[in-house]
Amino acid sequence: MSETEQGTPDLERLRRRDAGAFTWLVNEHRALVLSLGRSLGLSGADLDDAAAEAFAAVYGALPGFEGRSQLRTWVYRIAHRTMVKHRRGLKRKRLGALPEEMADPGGPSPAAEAAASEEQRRIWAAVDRLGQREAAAIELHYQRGWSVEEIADAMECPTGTVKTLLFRGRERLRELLSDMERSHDRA
Amino acid sequence: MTEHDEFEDRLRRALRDRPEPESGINLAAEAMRRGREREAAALRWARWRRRGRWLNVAAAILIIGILAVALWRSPAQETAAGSAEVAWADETEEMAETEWLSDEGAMLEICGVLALGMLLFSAVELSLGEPRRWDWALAN
Repeated sequence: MSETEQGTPDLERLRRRDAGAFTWLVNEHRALVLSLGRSLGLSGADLDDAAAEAFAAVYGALPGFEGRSQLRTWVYRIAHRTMVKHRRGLKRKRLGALPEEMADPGGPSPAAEAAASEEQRRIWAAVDRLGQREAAAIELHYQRGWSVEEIADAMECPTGTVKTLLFRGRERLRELLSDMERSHDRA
Repeated sequence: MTEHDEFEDRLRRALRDRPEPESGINLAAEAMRRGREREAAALRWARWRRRGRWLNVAAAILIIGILAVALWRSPAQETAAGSAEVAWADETEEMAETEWLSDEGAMLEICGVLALGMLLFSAVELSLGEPRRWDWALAN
């Protein structure tokens, strides 16, 4: 892992779980982890709780981080595992009792919706309707600019699978967007 | 620019501007609190496991002791009690529906195997040294 940027703590400080270094890590990866939670359908207090769980897991695993993979892909892997498990627990407790359409899809806030253009809103809505893995690959690639190799490392799958997920995701988005445009034109 | 590139560009522009979800809590502080809490719980669990091993050894020694006393006393009792003891045994045998329960030898064998198993388990556990701290992060 290259730690050349100013303000970036070195690996040793992270491993020692120095409070400053850990706060830096959380601030640096907060958006990534929260977006992951959103793509898993979490929102509000559930999202906060799942993100705190994910970072607590990262905190516990930090002494064993060897720096063989990039910090962000390592954090993503732990956060993904933790949040999926957390969501499963939540579903058992609560969502299981609710009809599918009542589950909060975790989309953008009303204020953000209002500020966004029609085109952006349509694309965000379409991404929210993709399968979880496809949505994650699309977001990491197009929103965060991650390479296919980085996504494969974070999602613990071969690069070929990531390429397939991106291809399928794009095709599905194309379909969803054209459907949305057609129904918009009709209205 | 091909249609594919145009679509990719459209996606990139729309998703880049997508607002990030906000958190209503101090994530770093909360994560550190939860992390430390779990580690303290893991250490408590490790201490109980360590105590449990010695309890296991003590229980095994106790069972072996009881067995030894039972084995040592039974022939002596038979001689001392004489015919009364034999009569009592006959009566018990008649009453017992399951034969094996009345078979002292089988019971003693079962207890012996149990005690040896407990001792073996404890020996293996103790030879592994200090219990490893429960790595809840890996379990996650």
